[in-house]
Amino acid sequence: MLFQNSRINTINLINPEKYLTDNLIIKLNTNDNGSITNHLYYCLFLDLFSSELDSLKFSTDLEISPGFCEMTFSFQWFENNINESEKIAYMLIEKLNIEFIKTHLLKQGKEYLKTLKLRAYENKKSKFNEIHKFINEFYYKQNTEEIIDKIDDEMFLFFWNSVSINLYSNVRLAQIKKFKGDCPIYLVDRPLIKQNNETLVFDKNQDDESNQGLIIGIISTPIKMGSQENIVLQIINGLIGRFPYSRLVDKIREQENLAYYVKSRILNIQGMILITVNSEYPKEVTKQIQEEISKLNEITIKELELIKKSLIQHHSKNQDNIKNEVNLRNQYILSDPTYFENYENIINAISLINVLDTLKKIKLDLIYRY
Amino acid sequence: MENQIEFRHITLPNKISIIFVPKYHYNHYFCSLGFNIGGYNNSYKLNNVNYDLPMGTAHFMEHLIFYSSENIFQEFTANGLEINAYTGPSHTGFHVEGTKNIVNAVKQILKLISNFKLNSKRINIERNLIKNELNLYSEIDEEKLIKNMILKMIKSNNYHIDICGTNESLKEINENIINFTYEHIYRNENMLITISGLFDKKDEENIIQELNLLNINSTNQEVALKNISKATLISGYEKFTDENSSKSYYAFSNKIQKKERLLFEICLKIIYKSISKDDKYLNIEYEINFYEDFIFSYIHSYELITMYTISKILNDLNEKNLNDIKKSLLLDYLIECDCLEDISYKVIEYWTYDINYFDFNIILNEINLDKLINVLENHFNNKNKT
Repeated sequence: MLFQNSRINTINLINPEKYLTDNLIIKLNTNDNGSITNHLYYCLFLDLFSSELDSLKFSTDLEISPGFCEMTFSFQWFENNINESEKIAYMLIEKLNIEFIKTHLLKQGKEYLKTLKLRAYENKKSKFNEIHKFINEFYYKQNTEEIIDKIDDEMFLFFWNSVSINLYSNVRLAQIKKFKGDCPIYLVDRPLIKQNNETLVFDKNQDDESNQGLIIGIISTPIKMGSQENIVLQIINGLIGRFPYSRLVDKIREQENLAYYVKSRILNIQGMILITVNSEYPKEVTKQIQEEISKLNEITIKELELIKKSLIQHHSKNQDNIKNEVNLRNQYILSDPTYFENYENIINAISLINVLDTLKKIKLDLIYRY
Repeated sequence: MENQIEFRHITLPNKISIIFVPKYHYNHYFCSLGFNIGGYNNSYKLNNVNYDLPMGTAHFMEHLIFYSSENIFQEFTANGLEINAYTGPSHTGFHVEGTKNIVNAVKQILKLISNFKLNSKRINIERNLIKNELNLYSEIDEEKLIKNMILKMIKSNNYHIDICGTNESLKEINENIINFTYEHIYRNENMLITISGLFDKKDEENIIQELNLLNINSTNQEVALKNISKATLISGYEKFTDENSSKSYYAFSNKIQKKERLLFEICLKIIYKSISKDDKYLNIEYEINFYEDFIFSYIHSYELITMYTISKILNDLNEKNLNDIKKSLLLDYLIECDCLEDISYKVIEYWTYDINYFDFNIILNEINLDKLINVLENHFNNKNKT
């Protein structure tokens, strides 16, 4: 099972005194391809709140995989007066009501939806989508363009699997709790399709290898988001390339001087680790990635302890950024509700044996160069 | 408007300046050491002697200082700290962040800077890495277009060049240049330290006590940083089109006194915000950059922008929508002040122009329609194109 989600509606009201601004972070899940839907939602929300945008700042982020998309919508505003703050928070939450959005769309008509969709296509043009498109095709045999073409005006708007509402604002909780959404719950169960036992090396422009810029390594795992092993994956990501002293950064950047940019990150929904290197030396970098990944099981206690320190430092620091804090709070809410508060203990309890066991389950599937 | 940011600015007898910005509910602190040499400073004067620097020297030095200690990341991480560095247009910053032992963290990063000894082997390593860094940025289509706009709007010898320099200028940077630049510029009086986030009064006093003892290359000689760029500006707006993305760009350049920077920036933002108010779906984005004594700015959108004359925008503005825009600008400012890294960057950048960034609120508050018109008329001087 790739991912299981059965989150219920949550409303968190967190540390209202901390920030100068008021903040509302909404996490919304849909069970379609995600990419285009996110941009469409962005346009819709922009429209819904346009009359208030002078006093609001609105932004969006997303994590996507086939069959699942988690969108984060952030609203920021400021008021010196509790009643005014409350009014804005309440107005925002009220407009998020599915019935309100349905009514709004019906009133605006079909042409309006077409316009939103066109604008959404424009918005989604970015290099960021390239690797997700490739992952869709490689692992799930899904052609993103075909999926988007099939999207019908009606089908992708109202599949809210879950919504979490996080308020960092000077408001009275009782007022906000009056809001109650009506959101169905979905499970996502989609296995990864493994292509080959060996690591494949794939060049997008096969005739022009000399001009390759990005070298992407994809490591797949059978590890579910929110599981105990997913936390161990944070250690492994730290060992590979999250920190400036991580193995790949040290080897490719410091020792071999093959690239300035070397980084790895976890794709939580897919349970993957994505390595990104920008280099003029794709062959050498490919060799180094393969060699270093094959030696991960030589991890030392000293390395493990250093990574733990960095992770704990990051966890603490991320709580001073509202979006990061909400992500951290949501990440393991089902499997371990104490995760957020007990992070330091949980990380410190991870042993070398835990890491070695998890390392047996990961595999460098692919190196994609484009 | 209220919402003044709490801060304390002190200058010690040894000429070190420190700005404390406490955030009592935060989990971590952020300490940044800013030196007023940036990507576009390509010469300076010391005791009536001019020193020219190849493009990219400030950035090259940032790399060398940062990597002057082996296992630097392991050393800081072992103490629960995270470090990084960057080079901006007018300053170089080295920062450390952590959750405990702020005094030791400040001492540790100061030690890194003040004990810098050039490792000559490192020069070639960094030269290669910076070449790779340059390629990384040059591959971005939008970056290329912006550099082209700068070159056309500001006919200068360096502002279209990356802060990292060029492949050619990197070859000119040698051991000698690095050593004398470090000795002349990395000094107490050219440094601003910002410390924000989690700390208390006792920590402040302990840090001050430590900093009082510090001398980085202190002498009584004055260093005047300057820029030798011979820029010829095309004043007013010019239109550019990005064929790859079908975006339209309108770029603007003009002369501006350093001290007027913040006021003019706010006025220009008011104009841009009022354009995007006119049609809510334009999704206008903008950039405002200052180089020494002039400004380069652009707005862009996927959709076709109908170019406005300044007078039309001003005609459409009234006190009510001006106040709405001011409120929106204040929100942007407060969001920035909620992020320790952002506020540190801004405070240091404006310090290089002798401006206190925390005056933003006061200046914004003082702007009314008359003042806005006055500032814009002075700067656009009827040269803006329609």
